[in-house]
Amino acid sequence: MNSFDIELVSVSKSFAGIPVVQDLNLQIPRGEFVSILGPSGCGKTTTLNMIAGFNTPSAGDVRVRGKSQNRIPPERRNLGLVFQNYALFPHMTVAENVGFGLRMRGTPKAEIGEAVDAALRSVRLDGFGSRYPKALSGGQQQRVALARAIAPRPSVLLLDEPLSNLDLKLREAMRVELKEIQEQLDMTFVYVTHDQEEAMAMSDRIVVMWQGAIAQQGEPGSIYRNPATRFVADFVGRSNILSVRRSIPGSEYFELCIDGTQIVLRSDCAGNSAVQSCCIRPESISLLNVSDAGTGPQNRLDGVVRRIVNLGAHVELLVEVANGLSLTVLVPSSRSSLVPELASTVTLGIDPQDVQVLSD
Amino acid sequence: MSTIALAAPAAMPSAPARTSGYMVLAPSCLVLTIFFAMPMGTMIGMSFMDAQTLSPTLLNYQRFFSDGLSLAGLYRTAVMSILVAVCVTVLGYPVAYYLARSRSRWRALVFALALAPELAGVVLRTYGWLIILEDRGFINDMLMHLGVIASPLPLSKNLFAVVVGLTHVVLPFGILSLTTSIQGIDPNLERAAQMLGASRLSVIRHIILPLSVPGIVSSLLIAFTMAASAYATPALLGGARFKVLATMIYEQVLFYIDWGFAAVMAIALLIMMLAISFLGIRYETRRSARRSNREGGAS
Ligand SMILES: Nc1ncnc2c1ncn2[C@@H]1O[C@H](COP(=O)(O)OP(=O)(O)OP(=O)(O)O)[C@@H](O)[C@H]1O
Ligand SMILES: [Mg+2]
Repeated sequence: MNSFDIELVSVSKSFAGIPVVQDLNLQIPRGEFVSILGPSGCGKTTTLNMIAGFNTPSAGDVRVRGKSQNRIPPERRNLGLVFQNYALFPHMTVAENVGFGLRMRGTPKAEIGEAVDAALRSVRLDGFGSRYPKALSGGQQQRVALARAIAPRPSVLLLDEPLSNLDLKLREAMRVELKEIQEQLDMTFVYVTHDQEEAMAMSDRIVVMWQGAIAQQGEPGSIYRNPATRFVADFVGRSNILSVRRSIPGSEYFELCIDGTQIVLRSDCAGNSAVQSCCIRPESISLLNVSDAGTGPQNRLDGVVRRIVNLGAHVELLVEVANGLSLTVLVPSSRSSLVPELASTVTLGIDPQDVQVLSD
Repeated sequence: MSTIALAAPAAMPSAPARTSGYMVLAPSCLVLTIFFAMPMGTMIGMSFMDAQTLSPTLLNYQRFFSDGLSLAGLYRTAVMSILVAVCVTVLGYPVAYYLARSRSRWRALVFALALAPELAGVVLRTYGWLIILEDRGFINDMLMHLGVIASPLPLSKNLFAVVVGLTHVVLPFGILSLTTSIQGIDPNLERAAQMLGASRLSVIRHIILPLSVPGIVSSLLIAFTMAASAYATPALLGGARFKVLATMIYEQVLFYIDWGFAAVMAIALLIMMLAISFLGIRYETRRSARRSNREGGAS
C-alpha cells in the first residue's frame, strides 16, 4: 500500500488522432485538496473523465490506491463526481437523490435515511429532503449534488467546475464551505477549475495544466510567487511579463536587459543565460517618494502614469517606463495620498527578489 | 409624464404584430374548416339520419349497441390497437435508446434502416407480410417442407397477422418519438448514476425509463391511434375473418350503402381514440405537475 489515492502514470489521450492529454504524471496523496487549473480546452475534463472511468486512456495507467483501473468500469471505482450542471435526477426528491448511491449499494433502508440526513446536514440543507430539484435555487442544487456525491462516502471526490454556474457571492461562500467539508470528511478532493482564485482559495496543491500537459504543480503560494513558465505567470494572477534580451550572472544577482529598452533589472533569482522572460507581480511594485532616493529597492524606474483604473480596494496604474514598455502597478486605494495623477511622473521601486525569472 | 413617454414607443410596434399574429392563422383555419370541421359535421348529421327516408332517427345508435357485431368489432379494434401500441413501444425502445445515445458511425445506418420501411408504403409492406404469413406462405411452406407441421399454422387472417403487420407499419413513428424523448435526457444523469454505483441495467431502470415516460406515452398514443384508424393492413392481413371497425365501416359504405350506420361506427372509433389520448395526456400532465410542485409527495 502506498499513500497515494490517485496516480496517473504517463497517461495520454487522443480523440481521433488529435492528442488532448499528453504524458501526464500526477500523484494525489490521501486527504489532499488538489486543484487541476487550466484554461478552457486544456484537457481538464478529459483527465477527470479518465480518473472516473468514462474515458479510457490511449496510453498509460490510472491507479486508485495503487490498483490499476484500466479495466474497471466507473460504477466499481468507488469515486464520487460532482458535475458542473449538477446532474440531479429530476424525477427524484432531494432525499432520493442523496440516497441513490447507498440504494445502489444495497444499504438497508433505515441506514440510508440516516446517511441522507447526515449528508444533507453537512451541506446545511436539512429539511429539504422532500423537495424536487426543480424547486431549489442553483446554490441549493449545487449542495444537493455535493451531498449526493459524499453520501456513499467515496474514497475520492472529483469535482468538475462545480461552482461555475453560481453568482460571485455564492461562489465565494461555497469555496469556504467546500474546503470545510473536505477537511471534516478527510476526503481526497480533485477539483477541476479554470478560475485561479478558486484554486488558490481552497487547494493544498495546484496542478496547472496547459495544452494537455502539466505546466507546474505545487502549493498555491509557491505557484503564485515562483511561476516556472511564462504561461503560469500569465495564467495565475496578474503579472507584468517582460522579454529578456540577455542576462548577466553577477555575484549576488542577475542582471536582465529588458528587450527593446535600456533598462537593466536585478533579480535574486538563479537563472542562466538562456532566460527569455521575467515576471513582476503588479502589487510588488512600489511607488517611491523623491525623498526615498538612495534607500529602498535596488531597481528604480521613472515613468509616466498613462491610465488609472479604480478596482475598489486597489487602484491599478499603467506606467510607461520607457518607449513601448509599460508596467501595471497595483496600489491600495486606502492610501489615497499615494495615488498619483494621470500623466504625472512617478518613480517605481522593484525589489530584486520580486523579479521572477521564467524558463520559457 | 416620463413613464407614459417611455411606455408609448414600446407599445407601438407590438400592436400591428398582434393582429398579424391572428392573420397568420387564417389560412389554416380555413383549410381546417373545409376539410375537417365540415366533414365531421356532415358525419355527425348522417349518424342521426335514416339511410332510406333521410328522416332523423336514433336507430343507427340503437343498432350499434344491440346487434353484438359492432361492439365486438369495437372490442377487436381496441385489443388490436393496444397490442400494436405495446409491441411498437417495447420493440422500438432499445432501437431508440441506441439511436439517442450512440456516437458510433453505424448510427446513421441504423437510423436509415429504422425509417426506411416508411418509404415502401403501407400496401407494399403488408403484401410482404401476406407472402410470409399466408397458409401457403413462406413460413408455413418451410415448416411443412421440413416436416415440423402437417397442416398450415393459422398465421394469417387473424389478430396475430394484423398485429405483426401493423407493428411493422407503425414502428418507425414509435422509434422517432422515443428517440426524441431519450435524446432530451441529459447524458450526465446516466454518468452520475454510474458514479453512484449503478450498473448499466440499474441506470436504465432507475434513470432512463422513468425519465422517458413522456416518450413512452406518446409512442403508445401514436401507435394506438395509427393502429385503430388503419385500414389497408387489417383489410389484407385480417381479411373477412378478423374485422375491425375500419374495415367494417368500409363494408357498410361500399356493400350496404348504409352511410348512417357507417357514421355511427366512425364516431365510436373516434371517441375511443379521443378517450385514450385524453387519458394519456392527463396522466402525463399530472405526473409532471407533481414533480414541479414545491413540496414533493413521499420522500
Ligand atoms: N469526445 C471528444 N471527441 C473529440 N474531441 C474531444 C472530445 N472530448 C474533448 N475533446 C477535445 O479535447 C479538448 C479538451 O477538452 P476538455 O473537455 O478536456 O477541456 P477542458 O479543459 O475541460 O475545458 P473546459 O474548461 O472548457 O471545460 C478540447 O479541445 C475538446 O474539443
Ligand atoms: Mg471541462
